[in-house]
Amino acid sequence: MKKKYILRIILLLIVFFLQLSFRHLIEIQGAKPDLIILFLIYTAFRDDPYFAMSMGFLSGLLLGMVGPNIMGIDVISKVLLTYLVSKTHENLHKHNTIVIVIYIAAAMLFNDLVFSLLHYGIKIKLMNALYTVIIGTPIIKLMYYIFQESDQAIEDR
Amino acid sequence: MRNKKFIPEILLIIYLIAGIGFYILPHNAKIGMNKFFSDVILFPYTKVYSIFNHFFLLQRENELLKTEVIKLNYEIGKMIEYQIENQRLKQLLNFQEIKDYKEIVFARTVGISGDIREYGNLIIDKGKNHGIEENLPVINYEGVIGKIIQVFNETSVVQLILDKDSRLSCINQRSRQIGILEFKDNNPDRGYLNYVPRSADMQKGDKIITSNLGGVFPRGLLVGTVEETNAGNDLLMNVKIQPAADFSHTEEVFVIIR
Repeated sequence: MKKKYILRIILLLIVFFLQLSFRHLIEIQGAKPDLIILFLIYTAFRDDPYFAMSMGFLSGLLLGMVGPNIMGIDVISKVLLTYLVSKTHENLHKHNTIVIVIYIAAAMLFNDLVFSLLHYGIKIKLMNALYTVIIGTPIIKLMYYIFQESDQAIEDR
Repeated sequence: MRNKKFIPEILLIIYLIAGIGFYILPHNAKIGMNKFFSDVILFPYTKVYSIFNHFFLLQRENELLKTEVIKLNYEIGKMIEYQIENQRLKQLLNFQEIKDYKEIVFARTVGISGDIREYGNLIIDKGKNHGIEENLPVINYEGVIGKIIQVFNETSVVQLILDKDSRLSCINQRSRQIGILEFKDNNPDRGYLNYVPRSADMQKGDKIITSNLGGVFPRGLLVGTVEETNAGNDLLMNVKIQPAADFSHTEEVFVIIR
């Protein structure tokens, strides 16, 4: 069990550094995908709510440390996000493409809403949401495929 | 069992209180934490990232700089001619020399060279102890970056011209038309020169420089070029500006001490 959590934390750090370093390279017309939100949705789908919220807190803290102006907002947004995903996915078929699409789009819009309320004023980045949905759906499906067996093997031990 | 049902909510409340705590921290404390995080925890990452960045960008940068040197040599030749002419005219008019700046201070951005566009400002490693004051212009080798808005002993906060609250008085170098530069959504692709009359002479490719009307930036610093113009409303023209500075690479900047 513990090994699975350590792997998730390492994965979060990798995603964080990828987002920090290379996200601007795949920017299209100002739109950028949010890899951390994809990771948090996946974690909230796969793991228990305590761990998912802790990942939300940690990712928010890391993002806040990089941008002192928005320190705290990412923590609030990401913790609420993981809590809501954990609470609502119970009876859904999480491998279903439509479910994944809806969750990514809703999570992106929710994140923008929190930032709108606490920082920017009303600003919903629809292009970012669309871009994240387009590249995020196959990424989450791929993560299911890659980690399904390894997670299961760790849990079985 | 019944109590256990509430544990996620308790954890949620604890994390939210922590988040609000970070949110309401004084700005100095936030910057201190950011500096510690960047200097200590992210240090190996920043080193590797900068080596990686240098490795891939060096060749491209070298070619660009060579082209720039050729252009500048040509410009210097012209400038010397203008300077001689200017001095002669000043002598004729008995003008006194006015120097635009006292000193130019080199500074590095504190922390990582990530996606600073999200935040509208950046922090540099020079502060009061290096002679930095509020409202000093900040540039890089490409053009205007922003101005100092907050100064601490060892660091300062730079408000980028991209910031949604930034307004910069500019002038078209060719036609001398004045306007106010603003960026929407902190986005370098959404810069507009506002308050330009519809009848103004603005052409694609015109260089936009600082006008010194705001009193912060000395006249003549390159801000960007006119990318597109079209008829706006009855009175004003829409002028889209491409900024000269590349805001995704602002690791090294210069503060002009006036």
